Amino acid sequence: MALPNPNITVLPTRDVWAMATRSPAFVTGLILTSIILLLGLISLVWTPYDVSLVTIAERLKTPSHSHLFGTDHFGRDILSMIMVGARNSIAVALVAVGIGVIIGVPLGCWAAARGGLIDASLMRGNDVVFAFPALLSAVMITAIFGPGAVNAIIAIGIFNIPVFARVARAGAMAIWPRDFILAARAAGKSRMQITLEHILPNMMHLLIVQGTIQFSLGILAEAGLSYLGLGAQPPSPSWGRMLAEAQTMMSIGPHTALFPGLAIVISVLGLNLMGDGLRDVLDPKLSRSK
Amino acid sequence: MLDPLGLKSWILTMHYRAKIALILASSFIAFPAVSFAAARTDLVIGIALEPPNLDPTAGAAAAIDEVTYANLFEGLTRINQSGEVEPALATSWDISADGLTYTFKLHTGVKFHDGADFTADDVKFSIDRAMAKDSTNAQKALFDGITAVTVVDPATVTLTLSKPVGSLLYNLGWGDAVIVDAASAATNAEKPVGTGPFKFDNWAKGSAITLIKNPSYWGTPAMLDKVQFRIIADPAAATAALLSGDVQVFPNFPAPEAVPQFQSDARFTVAIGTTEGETILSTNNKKPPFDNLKVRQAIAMTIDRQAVIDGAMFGQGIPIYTHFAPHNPAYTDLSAMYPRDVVKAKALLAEAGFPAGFKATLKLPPVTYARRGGEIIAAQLREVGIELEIIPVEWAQWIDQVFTNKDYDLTIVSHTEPNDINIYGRKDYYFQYANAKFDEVMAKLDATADPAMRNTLLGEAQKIITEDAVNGYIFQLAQTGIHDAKVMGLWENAPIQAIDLTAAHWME
Amino acid sequence: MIGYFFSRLGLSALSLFLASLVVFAVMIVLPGDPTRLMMGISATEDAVQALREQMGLNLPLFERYFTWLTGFLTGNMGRSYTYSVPVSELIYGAVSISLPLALIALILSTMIAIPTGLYAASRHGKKADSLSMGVAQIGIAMPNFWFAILLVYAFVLLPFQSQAWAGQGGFWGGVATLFSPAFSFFQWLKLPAGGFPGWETGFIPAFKALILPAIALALPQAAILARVTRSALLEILGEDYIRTARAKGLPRNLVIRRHALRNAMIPVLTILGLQFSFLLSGTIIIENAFYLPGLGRMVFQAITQRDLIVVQSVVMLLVLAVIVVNLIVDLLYAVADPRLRRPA
Repeated sequence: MALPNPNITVLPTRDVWAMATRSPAFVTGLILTSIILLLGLISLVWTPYDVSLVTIAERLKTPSHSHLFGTDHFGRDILSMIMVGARNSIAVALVAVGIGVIIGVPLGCWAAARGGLIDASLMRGNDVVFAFPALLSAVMITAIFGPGAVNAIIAIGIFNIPVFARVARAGAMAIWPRDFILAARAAGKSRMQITLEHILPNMMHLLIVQGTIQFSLGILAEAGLSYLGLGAQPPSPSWGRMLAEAQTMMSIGPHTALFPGLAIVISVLGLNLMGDGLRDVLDPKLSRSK
Repeated sequence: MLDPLGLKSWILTMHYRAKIALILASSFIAFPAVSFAAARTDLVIGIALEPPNLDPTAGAAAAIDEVTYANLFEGLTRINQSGEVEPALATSWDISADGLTYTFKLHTGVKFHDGADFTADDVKFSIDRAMAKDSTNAQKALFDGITAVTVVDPATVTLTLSKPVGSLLYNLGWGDAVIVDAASAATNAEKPVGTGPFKFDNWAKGSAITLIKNPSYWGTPAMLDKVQFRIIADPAAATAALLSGDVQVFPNFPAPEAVPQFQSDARFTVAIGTTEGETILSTNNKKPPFDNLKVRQAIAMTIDRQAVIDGAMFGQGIPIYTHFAPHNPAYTDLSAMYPRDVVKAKALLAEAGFPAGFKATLKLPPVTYARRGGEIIAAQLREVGIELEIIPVEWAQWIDQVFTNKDYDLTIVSHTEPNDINIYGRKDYYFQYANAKFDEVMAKLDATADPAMRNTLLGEAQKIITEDAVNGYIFQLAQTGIHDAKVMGLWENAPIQAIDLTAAHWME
Repeated sequence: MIGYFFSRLGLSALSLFLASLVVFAVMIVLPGDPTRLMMGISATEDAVQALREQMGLNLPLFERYFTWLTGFLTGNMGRSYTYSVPVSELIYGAVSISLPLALIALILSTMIAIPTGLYAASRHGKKADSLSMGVAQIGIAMPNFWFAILLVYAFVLLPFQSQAWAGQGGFWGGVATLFSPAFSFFQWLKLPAGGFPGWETGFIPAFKALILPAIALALPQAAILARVTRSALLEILGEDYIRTARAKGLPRNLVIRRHALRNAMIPVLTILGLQFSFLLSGTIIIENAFYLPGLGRMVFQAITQRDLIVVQSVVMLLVLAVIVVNLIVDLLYAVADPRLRRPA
């Protein structure tokens, strides 16, 4: 079967999972991501301390039995803050990916199905969005709507739209000329039906890989925005803001900068490893060189 | 103790080796320092905020005055470090018996930095320009009451007033009232030309402003050849710059958390002074539920001022209970009116109809005292059931939303103007406070000249606003100056926002 | 080829025009009055109004857009609201920091990445490969501002603080003494933790202020680049002509250096080009972390101070840079791979 794009193959999702779990990168990534996910989930029901509890007398304590990761400049428990911060980071990145998928994928599929002017204008729109450095647009968006977790989601989500549109368009365009699609067209199915029944299921794994990558980028972006003071607002803890606050405390409490940074590294690393593992399975060209 | 790896002894051996290395290294490093020791004539001053321009007559930012006041520009009078009025470009003045005519005798032989002569015409030009209808002077009110500026001869100028203004000489000493030359007035914002002991050399935007000694200064010449104002907003960078000696003076050090480190270091002098900045939890007195006196009283009783000072400012600041600076002779101690009492505060809230508390917003401008203080205040108010949503805003939004449109519940801001209790009488001020009794006291105050009587009236005014719990009064902002212990002649207090370097010098 | 060139050029110009509309629209909807902000809260309303007229903010929107666009194209971008100096002058000052910073970071990251990628590829499948790629993964996952904070601590704050510990006994006192030669070296080096003294103060102090920011900026770039170099090399090593070279008996390392590396540079350069906008984002954060008055910090500050006249021109300039770099990459790619010359 001749494929116009050698990078795109079609595999059932079930096989992908079975193959992925044999990849050490994927498994390591899964473990790391699960740790962060678990921390976030536990924080919904329990944290060692109340994250908004300000106890000035307890401030800047180094790690000990009562505070495993120490306390920050307000005497708040850093472990508890990291747990709740995990929840915030995941939520922001996940919803931002959701925005990208829900708006970007239909746009991409539409462009691939229609071609012509619709496709061309969509690609121009993509180019314009990509012409703005991502962080710069996020800063401008939060300047218009004010800082906050919701606006951080919007700012990051807007960037995911063209990404998913591009992936969906490339995937759909690779599938359209294939025999079973031709057969479906001959059977009189509409483009909409074909997209829903054949195109989407066959490129699901592409979207999953891209989703993993955008998820990790989303966590980094959220950390960057909240570092600049444009993400989730106090008292709700966020990793980026914890680092911004720690930066001013470095001369007296360097431990405050250690753990939030590690949390970011672990979650981004975990997601990237998972994405790599998946890609190795799905992209025979790259796997060959492994 | 067991030390199977011999780690300890190894470290101890290294300890001595390293000591020798250290001695060698330090003797090497000490070399350049020796040649400096004789007489340093350069000084680097750290400032946290960059001035938007360098024309004190066209901008409100304190940073403009910090760089230019007394160093680059001078007025007819000036304010010294004790807050008193002194002659500057005017040698002396006569005030007519009715207080409506001021005649100033000017220094002769004074030249602007570009070589132009300073004359009475420049005085007329500067004051007329500041008072003009299209003037962009941020403190136009300083010139209220002046009806005419008349040039008598090149060294004499008269100001005619429509009503006596007791503070005129003080007003003319402000940075906004300095004398500029007509030829250079338009370009002062980027290339200031004044009469001061220093002249402008260079401004690398975002980095530093350099001034050099004015060799043809009319008065006592400056003792330094070159001063540089280096813009360092980052607390960690400010700490590192002082420690490394790159910056030798930080008149308003931006990192209260690092101060103890400098206090215990003999190489530095730390001066913690007071400012005119009352840091308050400004309250929208017309917006429910804050229009209810009991709610405001409950807030006043919940705030733990010392915890805010310790937590946000690392102990630097003085608790206040009214809108007045504690170092002012007219200050009245009202700490006993609403002492901290969480139980009573909850009872008051219940009486006001909020037994379970309520939700409100707290808008915080981008300054450390507000951002950190706000988090602590929010945690304290949570104790009585008031849930505050923190909304950080930039100054642009703060002025737009809070100050102009009064679209806020609570905010934290420092009111840094001296003697500004009269803002409580202003119609439509952002507190949205109105009390006829207070206005009456203010009217009486305006008509009173006797200092003792004035202090009594000011005390009354303080009591009224504290009783009404108009705002949450938190603390008087401290000014933390840190400088190299060998630098002399700096101001210890800052009655106005200035970094006067005319007498600064290095000790031998 | 010429047709392709002009169609790409036309598309880029179209994107640029659309982007300019977006930028201008954002300036209109940004809340906050720049004039009120400049004058301060105690200024009277007519002083503010006078300033508004002076700045031309009372003109109709279309006229403002047109004035801005023609001004931008002719290099006359108006005067900054906050600094009241020509915007072009501000941009020049900021570029004189951002450009050297980006260049040092670029050189650093290439110097780290190419040898690492080369080494990993030549040890393909061995422990050294997994190890170096593992480190690269961590580098990619590390937020550059966190790295910046750690760098400042290790090279600026710690050397000065350790002085106090070195005198004391105990384990930490011993460690502090052990490292004291390194610490006194850094004390002597006096790397600034932030801020920029200006190029006027001389090359060395200014350069020193860029060292730590450049390292912080270079690390994630290097990690990505090392991975790309490695996989590009491995791909080429699978190609026929390399197999032939190997069959001729040339040693693997020589084959990599002589044949594969040069060809692998094409995808590496492409990635470098595509990463350009990513690098700009990184610069915004790093310049803020180190308080460097470059383009990134300037645009961030100008947004918060509502210095809209600066914001619109700097944003436009950054967008222009991204579009031009992408255009160059596209064209280079087309030269290298004729199959791509069909219009997109």
